[in-house]
Amino acid sequence: MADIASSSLDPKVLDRLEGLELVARTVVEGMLSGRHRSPLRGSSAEFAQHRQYVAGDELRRLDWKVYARNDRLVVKEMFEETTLSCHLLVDASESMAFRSGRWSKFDYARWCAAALAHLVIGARDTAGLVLFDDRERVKVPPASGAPQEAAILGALEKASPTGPTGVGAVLKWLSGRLRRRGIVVVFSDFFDDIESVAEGLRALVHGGHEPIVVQVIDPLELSFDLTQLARFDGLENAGQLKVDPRSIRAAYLEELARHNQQLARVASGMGIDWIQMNTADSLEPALSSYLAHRSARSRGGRI
Amino acid sequence: MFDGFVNPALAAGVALASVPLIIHLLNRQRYKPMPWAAMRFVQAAYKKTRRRANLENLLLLLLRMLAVALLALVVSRPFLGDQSPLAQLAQARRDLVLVLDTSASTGYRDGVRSVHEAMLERARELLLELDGGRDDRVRLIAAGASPRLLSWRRPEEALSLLNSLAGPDDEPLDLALAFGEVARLAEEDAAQQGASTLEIRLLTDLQRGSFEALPAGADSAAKAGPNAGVQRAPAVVEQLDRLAALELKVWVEDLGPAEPTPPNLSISALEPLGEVLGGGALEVAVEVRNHGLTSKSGVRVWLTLDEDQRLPFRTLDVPARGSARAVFSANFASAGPHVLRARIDADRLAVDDTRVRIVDVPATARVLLVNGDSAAEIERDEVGYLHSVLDPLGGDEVLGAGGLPPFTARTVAPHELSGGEVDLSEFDVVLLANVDALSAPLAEKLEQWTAAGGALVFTLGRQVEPTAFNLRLHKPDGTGLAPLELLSRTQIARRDGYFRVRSFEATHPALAFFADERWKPLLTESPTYEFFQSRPDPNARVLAQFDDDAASALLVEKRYDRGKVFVWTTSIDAEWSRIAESPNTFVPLVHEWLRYAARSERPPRNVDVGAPLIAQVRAFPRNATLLSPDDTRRAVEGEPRSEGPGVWSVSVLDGSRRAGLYRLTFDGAQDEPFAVGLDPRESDLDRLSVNELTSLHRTLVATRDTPADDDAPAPTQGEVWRLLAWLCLIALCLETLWAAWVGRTRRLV
Repeated sequence: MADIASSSLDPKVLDRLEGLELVARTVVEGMLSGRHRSPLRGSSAEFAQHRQYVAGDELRRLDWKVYARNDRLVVKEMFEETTLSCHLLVDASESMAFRSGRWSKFDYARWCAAALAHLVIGARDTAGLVLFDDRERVKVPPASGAPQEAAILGALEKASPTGPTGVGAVLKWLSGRLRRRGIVVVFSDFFDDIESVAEGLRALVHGGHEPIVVQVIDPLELSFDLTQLARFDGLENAGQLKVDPRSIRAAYLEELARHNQQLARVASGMGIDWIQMNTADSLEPALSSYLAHRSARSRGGRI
Repeated sequence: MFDGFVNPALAAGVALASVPLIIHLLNRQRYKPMPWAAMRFVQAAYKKTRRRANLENLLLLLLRMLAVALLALVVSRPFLGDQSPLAQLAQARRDLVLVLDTSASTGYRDGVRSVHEAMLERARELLLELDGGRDDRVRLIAAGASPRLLSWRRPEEALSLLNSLAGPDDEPLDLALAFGEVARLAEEDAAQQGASTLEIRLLTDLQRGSFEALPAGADSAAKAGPNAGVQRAPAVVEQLDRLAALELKVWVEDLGPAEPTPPNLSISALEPLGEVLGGGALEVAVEVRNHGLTSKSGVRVWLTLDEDQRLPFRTLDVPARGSARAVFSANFASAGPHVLRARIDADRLAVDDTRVRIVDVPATARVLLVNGDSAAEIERDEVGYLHSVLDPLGGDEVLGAGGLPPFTARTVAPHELSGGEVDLSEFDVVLLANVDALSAPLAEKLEQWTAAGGALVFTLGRQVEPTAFNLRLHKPDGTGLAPLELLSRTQIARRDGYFRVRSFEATHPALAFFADERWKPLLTESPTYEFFQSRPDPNARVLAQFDDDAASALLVEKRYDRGKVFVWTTSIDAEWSRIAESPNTFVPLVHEWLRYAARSERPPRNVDVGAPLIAQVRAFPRNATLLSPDDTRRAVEGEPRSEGPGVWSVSVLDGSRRAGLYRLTFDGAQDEPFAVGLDPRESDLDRLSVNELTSLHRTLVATRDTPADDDAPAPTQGEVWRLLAWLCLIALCLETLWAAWVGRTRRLV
């Protein structure tokens, strides 16, 4: 069972599947297989306390058992209803088109997003999608149900990674526009100015959201294992450079590590989960993180 | 930077140092396009490392180019002159030309060892100073009559060759040829390297005769030293001038004996006195020369005949720097070559204490007289007087005690000759006396016989008809048998006077007897009343002429292939001339003339050292072998050469390097002996002084020490290829290490 689960989260396997729906279902089933029950519950209605009935309270909230016993009219007060909203923000800028293998960072991101959408909607939570580059490009407002999932998957299917990156600015802009507070899962490579990203995340947090930062990076970008003389053609018109990669590798990795460390620091400073996902690795970390947040939230807390 | 290159063409290989640069530039074209998202990090990394990476790459490139350039320089072998600022770094390679005087005089034994041995020892010392590893070179020249370049490269090779010089040659030293060879080497050297840095050393005994010679030598820059009387050989001066033009010196090391005029006695000459005739005693003179400064008395001289007949010795007193002669009487019972060997007691130079000579005792000349006008009385017979002069005893008795008759004569009538009754091969001379016209077959027969080496003589008379004579025997182009064209007869009545011999070739063997003023009138005053006028051929030699207006020829000679033809334009009897009636004239005339005619030309048996040995034999020479004075034998290479019908010659061009007796032996034929004689000048050991030597020419420097004694040392050139090779190696190592280091640092992440 575990093997089936792991393999269905393997990008190599997912790459062979036709259509995001199948991908999403495969991932989720793989994720959930082996567990005895869904970790997700429906909208929670947890009893908090009784209080005297006042005019205007909803009659359905009267505790009739107490009336029968004591002839007192009391209503049940419940914990806030946890109909979770999950906002999936997927970076569709040109930098996400990079691939060293058969699938690009964007493919990987949208598999994750599709799987999450399926998971969320399957748990009767609401999910929404925003595809962005340096601005919002496509928006699927949060909703639940199968049509919503189809809409999200359809938007993901149709999207292609183009345009410049502006993660920070987009997050900041979106923070005021996401109506429902919920979990915001951001899929991007975050190759952007850290300050700008930090500002964006801060805005989301202040907006009452729970961001999860999923940094999607290609293994080649991580290893920079290039031996041949290369002419680097920057995506998003970032310029061109002829260089012996071996001569700059150490410095490149240092720069990348510093950037990621800063990003991690920023995220951790805000209590935000930062997950770095190598597109060659399993999708599980992203989904597990979501689930952890979802579970915490349903108990009325946060991670 | 460099003064030149040993291999200048290879220096162009330095251009190959551009290859790493070209490869680097070509590689810059081969960048793989790489779309990249994380460009900000690439740019940041590049900015951070650009300078360092460029330096690393530049250093690698420079090291590679440097290694290639250094390698090219190493193989081209540059050299630096001593004026170069880098001269301190160069290895001053020595380039030595060592000339060894191997002439006979160096066999002089001064104490325990000879001058030659002292020279070899000194040569070894000099060679051992050289270092083949440093690429020192040596050209070893053995200088005798002609210089021999024994070794021209490595000192080790020269050292081993020294051992092969067992002793001196028996040749004199030709210094002009030796210096000429040195000058040639120096000029080649200078042509290659721009200047010659040869160190030239001559090891010699400073024998005066080698350095001095003919008068009127001219060296315009020569110093006028105190010994201006020493004459310089022009050829030597010319060669030394060539060396001077290259600013080279010749360091002359004197390894001779201490005395300026070492004592030495030599046999300077061994020769018969007078002509060697067949039969009778022959006087042989042995000349002993004293080259020292004190007279020698009681010098014993021995003479041996044919190696086994030792004559009693003579004792001589020889004055200082003078000579004395001992005369021996020798008898030879047989014709052919005989060996004379003269000897004195051995002294410090042994090679000149003996001398050999070959004496060819002529065989009896066989003369055929063809009598064209016979008569009973000897006075009237055409050949009456002639026959009696040639064979006075009729062949019954040998002339003199124990001697060989010089002639045998046979007289025949012309028809006997024409009829084939006479075998011409039995005769050395055929004399046709007043014979009328010859038949064509007879003329042809005579032509063949003469061409094969016979001597044909025509004496004229009434029977001879010019037209028939010319028709049969003369050709206008001079290729006929007769040396002249007969014209008309000239006569003078006896009462009116007579013709005389106005002039004759006094040096010709046939007439040399009459060169003596005492005997000259015997020929010139003998009357002749009638003779044939003639027109000698251009290739004929007129030996005697009458005193008529036309200076007509009396005796004419011509070479006809290997033979000789003579025409006596008057009669040989008393009819036209009274020469035959005068025994004092006729006997020496006929004897000398016919003896000369009968003598066959052959290569000399007495030669100088180094001359070829040529034997002429009458049978095909099979398995020719040369036996040398030291009893060694070697087969003679090369094919015998035909010199005519039944005559062959065998040559040994390089056989006579030693003085003494040689023999060429053949299967089925008689041995041919040769006497190879030492040049008598080699025995005079008188030496030059140092002052005399240096006054001869400005290039000559007398020294027993190193050239450092000279205040103007020879220019040197040093090679630096070893240093460059080390630098190349270091460059390659550095390049390898640096490339490995850079690769490692770029991988370790």
